[in-house]
Amino acid sequence: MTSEGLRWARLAALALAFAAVVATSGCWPPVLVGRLCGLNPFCPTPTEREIVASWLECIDCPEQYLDSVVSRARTTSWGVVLLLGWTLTRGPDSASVRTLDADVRHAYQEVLAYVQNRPTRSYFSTNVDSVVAREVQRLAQSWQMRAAIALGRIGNKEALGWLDSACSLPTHSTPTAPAAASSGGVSPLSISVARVAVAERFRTDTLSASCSLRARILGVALRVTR
Amino acid sequence: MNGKAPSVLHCAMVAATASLIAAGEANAAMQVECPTPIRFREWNGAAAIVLERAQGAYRLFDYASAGRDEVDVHPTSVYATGCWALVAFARGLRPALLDSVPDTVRLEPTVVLQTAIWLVTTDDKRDDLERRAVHEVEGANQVFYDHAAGFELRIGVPEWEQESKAYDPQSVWHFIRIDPDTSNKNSPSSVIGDGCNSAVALAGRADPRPYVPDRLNIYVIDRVAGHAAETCSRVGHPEIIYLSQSEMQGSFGRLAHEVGHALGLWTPDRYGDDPEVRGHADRMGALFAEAVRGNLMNSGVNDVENITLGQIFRMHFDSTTWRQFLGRPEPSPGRRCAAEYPSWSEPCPPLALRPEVKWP
Repeated sequence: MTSEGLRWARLAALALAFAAVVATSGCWPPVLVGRLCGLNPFCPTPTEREIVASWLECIDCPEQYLDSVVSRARTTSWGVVLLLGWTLTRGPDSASVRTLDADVRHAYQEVLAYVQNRPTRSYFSTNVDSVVAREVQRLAQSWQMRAAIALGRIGNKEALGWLDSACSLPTHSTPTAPAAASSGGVSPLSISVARVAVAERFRTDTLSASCSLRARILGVALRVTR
Repeated sequence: MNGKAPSVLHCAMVAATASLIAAGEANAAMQVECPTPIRFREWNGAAAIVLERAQGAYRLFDYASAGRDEVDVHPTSVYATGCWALVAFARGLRPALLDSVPDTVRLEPTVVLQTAIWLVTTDDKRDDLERRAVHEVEGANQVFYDHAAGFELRIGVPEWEQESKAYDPQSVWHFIRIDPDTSNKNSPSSVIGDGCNSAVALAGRADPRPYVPDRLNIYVIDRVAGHAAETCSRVGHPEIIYLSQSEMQGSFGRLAHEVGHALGLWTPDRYGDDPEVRGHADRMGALFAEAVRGNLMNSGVNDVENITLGQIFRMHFDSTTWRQFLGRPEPSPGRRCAAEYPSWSEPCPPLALRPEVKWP
């Protein structure tokens, strides 16, 4: 190979390395959670996704669920932290939202059919779309809280960074719109999620400037046992 | 059965499961002649039959088609050595467990679980919380009905008791204001606490206490420590259930899931190498392989698609069910169902045994 060829080969290698760094730095989350993820060797593995999903979705959660997330994040990868950070700041990914929507829609339609001849029927809205939308938002918010809790328990630099990011997001009093994850846009956090993020940040460390400000705004009583 | 009333007819779209234990040498004395055919009263629909063979194995045997009120079990070779027991499951009716097999089986109405619902909140959130609680209760009832579990939580139309120092044990609905003074450890909201770590002290307090023995006490609170919901079976109080308003995993099915735990589906506590299974179907590996999709007892499930016959059996008849704690065993004394064993030779149907067709 000529010296000119070698130079181009080096440049190509550098470009590839740069692309890999960008793709794995957390600055480009869609690559890590989206369909291109399979091209990235640092993507969360199916096992890591399963571990995180078990924690995000469980109803009554044995300690083991959270412990698995924490130990995996601390020992083998930051893919777990990325999944959690992405969930905290953007809500569930679009595929999860679709699944939640389908499940809740089916479940509510079943309940509605059941209560049609019952005295409590006045409590039930027949506007399935609005009920499902609200319920999915609540579930998305629940996932965000779980993500914040796990990041606080992990407590390493990357995890605290995601909590700080959450503290920097605007808040509103209704749950985060779950569609934000698929759109890639910045979505405000619900106040409830922000409170948990602040409390979890404080659990493991002194508050960053952004979280300290958020704590004051929300009036979060920081009495978490450290 | 009044076949003219649509709702009754609908309720009577019944599936039945019969278990017949063919006596082996050891229990030959218990053999009885199998009546044929077996007729089901208050029943009109598909049926599933479970047979227990000479070695004590249960299996699904047959489904009757809609409109049939009898199931001819006699011609099979499976139970040729005799009949021993029968279990009939019916949508909208309670399962029947009979230690001898009559020629006619009458199915009774569902078991009504008496509840006390405690909403712990502030005045401005009370209406929302009440509406949500009704949704959750009806969600549980729908799941139990559609999957022939034979249970119902009866709450009626919410009627609130007036706030007083003593709680009326006959009231279903109780409203507990959150005490802004969190240092007051004796306020009702403090006593209720944030999960099962408070359950023993709560149940052990002298009256007045926000707790009614012999009822399912459902506490709807802001946050349950580490959970979206929690049943306190592990601390000896399966009659205490906490539901979180902040974390909503499980959606409309989570109360049914927790009641499942209360009714004995918190075993096996461990399975294989997993020390924290706690009755969750998706943690039992091969034991639940085919039945796990949408199962009521998955650790996370927003849309319940199935409850197995083995699970329903245990909820009614296992010695670990909360109903047995109340001293109200079903016709047969509580059985000791070894849920952690997938063996077919237990005194109960396998935990993962499913009806092979969708309930009508």
